[in-house]
Amino acid sequence: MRLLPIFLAVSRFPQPDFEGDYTLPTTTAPMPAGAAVEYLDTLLLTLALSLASYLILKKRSRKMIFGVMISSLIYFGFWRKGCICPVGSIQNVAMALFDTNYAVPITVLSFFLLPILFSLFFGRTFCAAVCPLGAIQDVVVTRPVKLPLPLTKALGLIPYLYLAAAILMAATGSAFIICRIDPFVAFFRMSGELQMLLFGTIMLLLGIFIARPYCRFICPYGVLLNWASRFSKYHMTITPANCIQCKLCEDSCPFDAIRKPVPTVSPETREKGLKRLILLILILPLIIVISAWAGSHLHAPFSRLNNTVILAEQISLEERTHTSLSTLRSDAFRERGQSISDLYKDAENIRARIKYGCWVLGAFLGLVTGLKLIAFSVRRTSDDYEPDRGECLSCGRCFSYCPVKDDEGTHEG
Amino acid sequence: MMKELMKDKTLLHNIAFVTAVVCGAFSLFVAFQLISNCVATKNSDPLNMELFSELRLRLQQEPDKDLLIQEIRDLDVLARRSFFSSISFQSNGTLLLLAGVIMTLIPLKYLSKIHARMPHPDKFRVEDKSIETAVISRNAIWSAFGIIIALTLITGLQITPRLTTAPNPTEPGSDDQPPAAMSKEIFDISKSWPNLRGPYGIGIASGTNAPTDWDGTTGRNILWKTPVPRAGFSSPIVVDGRVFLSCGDNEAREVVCFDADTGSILWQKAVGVVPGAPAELPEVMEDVSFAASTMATDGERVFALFATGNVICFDLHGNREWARSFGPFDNEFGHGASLITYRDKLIVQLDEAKRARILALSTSDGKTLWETKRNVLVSWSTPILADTGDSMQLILNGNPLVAGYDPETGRELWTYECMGGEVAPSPAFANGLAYVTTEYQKLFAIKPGTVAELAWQADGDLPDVSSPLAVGDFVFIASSSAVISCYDAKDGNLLWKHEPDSGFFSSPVLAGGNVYIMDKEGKMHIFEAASAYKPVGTPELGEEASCTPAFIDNRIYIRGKEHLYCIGIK
Repeated sequence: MRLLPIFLAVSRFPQPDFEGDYTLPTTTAPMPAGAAVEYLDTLLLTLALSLASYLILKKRSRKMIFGVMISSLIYFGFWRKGCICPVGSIQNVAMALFDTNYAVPITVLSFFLLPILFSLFFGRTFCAAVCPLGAIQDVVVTRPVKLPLPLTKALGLIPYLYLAAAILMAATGSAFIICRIDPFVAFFRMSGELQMLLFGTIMLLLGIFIARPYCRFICPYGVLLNWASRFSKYHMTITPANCIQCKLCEDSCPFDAIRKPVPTVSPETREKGLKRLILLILILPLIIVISAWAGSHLHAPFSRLNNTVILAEQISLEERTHTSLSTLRSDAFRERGQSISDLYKDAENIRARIKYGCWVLGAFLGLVTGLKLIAFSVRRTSDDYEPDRGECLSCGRCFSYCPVKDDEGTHEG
Repeated sequence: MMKELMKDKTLLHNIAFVTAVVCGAFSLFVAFQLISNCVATKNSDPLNMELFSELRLRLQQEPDKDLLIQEIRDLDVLARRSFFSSISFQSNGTLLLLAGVIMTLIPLKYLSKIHARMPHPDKFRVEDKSIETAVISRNAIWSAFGIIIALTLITGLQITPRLTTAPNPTEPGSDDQPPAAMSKEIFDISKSWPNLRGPYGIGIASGTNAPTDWDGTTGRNILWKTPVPRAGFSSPIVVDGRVFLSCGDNEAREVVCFDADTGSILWQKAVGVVPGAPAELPEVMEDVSFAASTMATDGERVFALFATGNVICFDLHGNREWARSFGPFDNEFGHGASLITYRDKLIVQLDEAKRARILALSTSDGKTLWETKRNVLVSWSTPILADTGDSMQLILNGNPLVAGYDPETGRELWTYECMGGEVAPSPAFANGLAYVTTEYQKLFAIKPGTVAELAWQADGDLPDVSSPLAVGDFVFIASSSAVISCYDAKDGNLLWKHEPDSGFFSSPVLAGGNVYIMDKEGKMHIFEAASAYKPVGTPELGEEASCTPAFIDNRIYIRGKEHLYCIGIK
């Protein structure tokens, strides 16, 4: 019964009832959903993740995975207009952690945690069949080409940088940059700024040839899923049984996430490899310090994303130059009669926090860079063709390439 | 039959191909139409059309005209209908585009499936490439890291924090001390007039209660009047309850400190011996004097520059701290540029014949912090500080170049060649534009930047000494030929002219919404900063005056030919 008022919730401020045939224009941003709808979304997300995990791990059916993906694209993308989305929820969680005045809704927290939890157990099943951003890219993949390895590795740093920047901006209450530069939300809402639409169009056109460019080289949430998936107990495998090293799957992954067998005997001497590894470990702190120092220089551009800082700078400019070029915000501020010195104090405090955050951002990037360099110096041997646990999106494209049958005598559902 | 058709792979392929091409072309066409519509309507705002604004203005003047009211209503309906039609077009077009894209993707997916590359295991080599892969990966990571660090540093150095300074203490809720983290360009603006034409040198006073009526002869609203010991044409500066003037003649060059409340002379110090100064005094024209340059202060010290080429520094109590000689000046009429401070630097503009330069001296010990050569001829103009929004700049007027410099390093940021002749007026800065002029040239509005651009230029009765005042939508100039002109700051249109009896050497100052400009006879012309000439008052000093007054709160300090005056409501 407690849920009844929620289900019966209506808008507090009903829209005016115009006479004649005037119709209210549709808004570009979705109306806030009632709590019931949000709980329904959470339930559907859980169901979709469960179904996707089942289809990937048990059924091993690319067609069914594709079907779930299309359904997710339609519901979470076009119907729910891409909001709430787990990718953006990073910011809500970051803001809640650093701002005691902000309470993250339980549904948003669920959207943040559920895909990570599923990744922790089953791999990136969220990416495979539930994420609408991934789905819209996946449908346009028609002629994927293999990118040069250096480019793939180099671009792999961008999601970490993006994640750190997004957390910094959200934690300081400055901006939700993931939402601001989401390339696909304009398609989901059938409306958006021209530059947003152009960015999304470019991503989709690229996606025809470079499979899922946003997922692989930009998505900040993918970093968290990548980490969780590495520890997954039940990750997807290419073969339903034992790998026979037939090499048929070697080029089947458009995301270049298949790791080839690595023999135990290395052409490089152990001593050489060990020396390199020790050197990288020793210079890791230096990399972190350099990166932190460089990152600290970004505090000015990041500060300009904060509304309080923007307002303080505008007010300061008007105060000193007596320009007539005021803004609506500065006019509104003056009309409220608030203290300018308080505004300046707030702006300075925010700048100081952002500067500190930029040091941390730089250090994080340095740490990631160092750890990646170390990872590429550690030789991991294997006999089989395996998906990279972090980078594999569990899409199931490789299933049909594997000739091995499972215990029931099938290799693809 | 359908089953047979479905089995004919070639037919299916062709159908898929044609469908993809047709739907793809349709989608591109719709996308192009949507983009065109978007670009065309991007700047249209049905409520703020130019025609609308004009009709509204007319309605204000003719509020009872029914035809006009109906015309506005009809235009409003038309504009809204057009706007919402465009929205509807976008909405329907988007749905069409979505349908087109889906119809393109489905056959493309089918085609990609049937043309999928088959694996060829016999072509795969068996050698171990793990080491090579690791090396390539590490190199790629190093390269990406280096690029990210470089881009980060470039971005960080290009985009610096914009300034926020302490507010005017008269603002509500602003009784607090300014936070220590604030920049130190301007120390307590409300209680100091630190150089010629006030803070930044742009002629804008922060006080709002400057008096508009006084009489030097009867003493009405003259709080005090003190004789100045020696001749000079430097304007007063005010700091910490003290008014400072420089003055001099063949006998001595002095700095005089007056009590701002009573006018009594607190101290009067001669320059004295300056190391490296030439033994002989230069010949100085009577209407220039030894003390033409206005002093400057950094809040703790005062600085003066004399025609002898000597720069002297005293603390506020008259203790000499340092002195330097740059003389003798090679300047046909005598040195005229005044001093200005920026943080810990005293900026000195020395545009001599064959040796034009600008220097920054340390305020604490007079050492040269930087010196930048200038490709200009002799001039008598004074630098100003301009907040362009991205950075602080020194802007200098000169012949032939107007130039901007970084006050921290002296680096030349931009130049614009437009001036000629004898350049004495200093620049003005507002709305992101530098306004410069001199007699027989034009009034120029220049946009500073990596490549400076001319925004506009205008003819008129231009000053040879007085500097322009730019505030909001207006630029005011006052010429020696007794013409006060007001221009539109955005496009240079002449808005109005006023021709009093006497010409002007001093520069206009804005205080409390009014412009104050003193003519050579000592009459202050006060009018509103407005698009039409609206006089407020013409109080007289009772003696000749050529200097620009100093404004502090509800007081004005004016240097006449013989006396220093303090004007205030009694």
